[in-house]
Amino acid sequence: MITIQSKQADAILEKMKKAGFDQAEVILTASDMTEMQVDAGEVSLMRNTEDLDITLRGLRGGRYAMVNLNQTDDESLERSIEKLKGAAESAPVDEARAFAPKQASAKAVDEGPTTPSLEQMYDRMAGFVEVASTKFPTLKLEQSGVQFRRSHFLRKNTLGLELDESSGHYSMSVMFSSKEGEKTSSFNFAGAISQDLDKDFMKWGSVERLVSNSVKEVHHEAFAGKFKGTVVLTPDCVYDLMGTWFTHLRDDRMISGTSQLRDKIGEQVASPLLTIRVEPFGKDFAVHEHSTGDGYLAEPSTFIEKGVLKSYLLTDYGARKTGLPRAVNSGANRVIDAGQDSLDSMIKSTKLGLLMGRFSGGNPAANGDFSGVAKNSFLIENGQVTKPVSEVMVSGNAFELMRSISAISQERVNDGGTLTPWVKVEGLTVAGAS
Amino acid sequence: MLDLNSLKSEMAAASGTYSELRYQENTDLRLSLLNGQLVTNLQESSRGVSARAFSGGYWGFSSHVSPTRDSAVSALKEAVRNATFLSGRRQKHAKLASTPAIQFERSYASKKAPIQTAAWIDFMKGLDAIITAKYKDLKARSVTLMSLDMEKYFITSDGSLAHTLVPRAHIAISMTKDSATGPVQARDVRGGLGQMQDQVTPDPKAFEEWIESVYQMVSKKSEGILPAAGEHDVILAADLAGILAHEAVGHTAEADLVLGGSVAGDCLGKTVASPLVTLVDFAHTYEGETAPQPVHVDDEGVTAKDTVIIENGTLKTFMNNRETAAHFSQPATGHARAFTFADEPLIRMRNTAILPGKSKVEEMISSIENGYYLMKAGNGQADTTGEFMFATGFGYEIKNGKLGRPLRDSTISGVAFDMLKSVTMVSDDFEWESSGYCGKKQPMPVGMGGPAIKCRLQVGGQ
Repeated sequence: MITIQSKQADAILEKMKKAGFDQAEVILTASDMTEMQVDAGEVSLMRNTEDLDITLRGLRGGRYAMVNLNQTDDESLERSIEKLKGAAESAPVDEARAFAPKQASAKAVDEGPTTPSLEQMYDRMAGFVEVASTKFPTLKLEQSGVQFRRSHFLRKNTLGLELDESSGHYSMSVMFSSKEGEKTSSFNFAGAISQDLDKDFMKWGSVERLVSNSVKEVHHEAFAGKFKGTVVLTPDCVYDLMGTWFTHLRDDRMISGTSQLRDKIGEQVASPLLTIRVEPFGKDFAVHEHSTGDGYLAEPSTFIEKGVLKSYLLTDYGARKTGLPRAVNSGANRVIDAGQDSLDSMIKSTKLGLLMGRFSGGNPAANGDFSGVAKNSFLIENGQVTKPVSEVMVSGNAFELMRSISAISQERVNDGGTLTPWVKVEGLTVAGAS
Repeated sequence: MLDLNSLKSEMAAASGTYSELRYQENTDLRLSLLNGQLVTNLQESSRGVSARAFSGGYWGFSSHVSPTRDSAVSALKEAVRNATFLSGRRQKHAKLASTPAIQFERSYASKKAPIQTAAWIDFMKGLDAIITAKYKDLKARSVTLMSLDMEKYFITSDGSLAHTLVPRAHIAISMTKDSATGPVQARDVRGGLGQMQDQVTPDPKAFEEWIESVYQMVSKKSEGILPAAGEHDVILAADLAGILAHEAVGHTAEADLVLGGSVAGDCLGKTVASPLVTLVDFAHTYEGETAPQPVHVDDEGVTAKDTVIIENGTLKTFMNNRETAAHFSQPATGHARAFTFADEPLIRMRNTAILPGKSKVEEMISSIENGYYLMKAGNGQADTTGEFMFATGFGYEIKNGKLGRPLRDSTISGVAFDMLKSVTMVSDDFEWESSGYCGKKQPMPVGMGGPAIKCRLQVGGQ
């Protein structure tokens, strides 16, 4: 890995000050990645990359700019500082631009493995391919792979901020479909993150469930009906639909004034069954958010408690811009509290509904209306999951969806960074092709 | 500047191995003005050197940020080592199609003097001032400028040597307005091949008409209806036909996805579309003019040629890299592309388009009793089954052969080959859409184009 040092950051900050910046910040990220990739059912590529990313952020007379580069030689740095200067000079004065102050309790963090076990990576990946092809002969593996990444992140600014974080982790992702004769299932994908390779990949996150569902999905039937009612979201698509809602808590919509959730703190915006926490140091997670994107030490938070909105997801800039509080984390390590119902009872209590595996939808409208195709989904009839369905459109409104949650499962899936249950929602329009 | 030519002997030293060395620099600029505030002011550049080696049927790849001769030599050794690691574990009989070596140089860099960032920001402020002065009922507005220059030098062990620089630049305007059913948004983008100074004259007044058209769109949407959910006769304007060509059909015909089980794998030589449909992935030129994302030589040193995927309704070929070309005994026509120096080449589309037909859009509208004219595309996805969906951002209902009420955001979906078989009219005009990125492990700039087509498909709504 390319070595990055505190004194290197100091030297860059010095150059930036000399260039006339009142405040300056530098973020150095060095990383090494090793990957083994499966193509068309075989481990066929081994790839390693050595990367460096340098972000320079400068404030000059209240004017802000940012430049990224990946070279450390003096000429590249000086050229980038010149660019930064030019970009800042032309930017309007923006009082909301500021850098994070010194974080008194910041300590250097180092977690996870430092080097990959290549033999183990190969054995796990090739082992997965082998098991998948024997246990699920109709499964077709598409682009899949295992990756190890080790990175070192160093952030310093002229206000005394110094963050030093090193981490290593493995991640795996599989993309697949199934094929019997000329019948194919929709593709699907699964993946998870871990600090070790102790478990078979089948046991990571949702992998085994989604792979075995894929084999059944070959026999999909076009859904001919239309109903307004129950959809059970699998953990794999909960955020496909909730994602829309989250954007209304973030900078863009809050600053532009198009958020539908502004001024809703303390109000019931979702079903009382829903509690979402952010646990940046969750011990069950393989990756953690030690500091926020703007340089503050991350803290745990609850942003929806029993359906009541407790916090926005504003960055420091968004907070200053709107005069509202800054979020204490970026919302990455999300945990949805387990509910009272078993998944089985959620299905059994559904007369007619859809068990949705994946949502392929367009960008939602500004008012929260969404529509898209339910992929890798099964029909629920009289309390039973009966058959895989295709060509099903699902539409609704993101804000109504959050209020219409009628059950949350006890079971949850941990993908190494989030912990997510099955969520049952009511009132969505489910329409077949004809 | 690293002289790749001087590394020929190092490449030759790894006998029995095919190898590539690539030096690449990507430079991009993103400026975004949200409600008059400059919320994004970012310039990025990344460069480095990478090597890829093919040995014993396996690929090895390695990259370094330092663009020096030593880094290139290390990358080459590591790429060979990685391929050998895999070939030492299992036998594989993959081969590469042999293609004639090419020596090629082409830069699309602007011949005009560059314009400083400050002038672009002033220009954006000028556009914003026009919007705020003229349109008082907007809830939000944004102006965005974005550009990407990709410069590649590469050499292959079988004798190809190339240098290309392909830039593209775009400007986008978005407006949000309140309506009885909540806020609605309209967005439009302009630009294409070239650097910013080629695409945009920094005179805000020159854009007044365009700004007015975006305002008209958001205003109509604010009074718009949602289409009725279900299957309908629709006309897809060029913007949507292009996405359809790329998402719904193009992806299923990429040879790596065919090997992964895509539906096109069983359809070679079969009728997959109406005889009115011919679909081509153009390498660099269409009707004598440069396409939005010209590829003359791909990142495996293959001379890029047009790939006719569907000809008069029949599926003719897949899109290949050298390995899949050998596997399927089809020609390699230059589809292997990598996004950054640290990425390996993947099979990618270039400029995918349905060819124009003979109908007039007006005739197409008047032929529909009850349906929709869908004009603006949002994002989209395709599936190995040929199922696709994409967002529609604007359009009109069609009643008794005439345009009716405007439409709000919705989604359309269908099964690619079923939908293509339902095509009954294709318009005689043609338009490129050039701001798209295709996502497939790595992002990649692509061009998409087409005429308007009349077909039947599933429309979202409530």
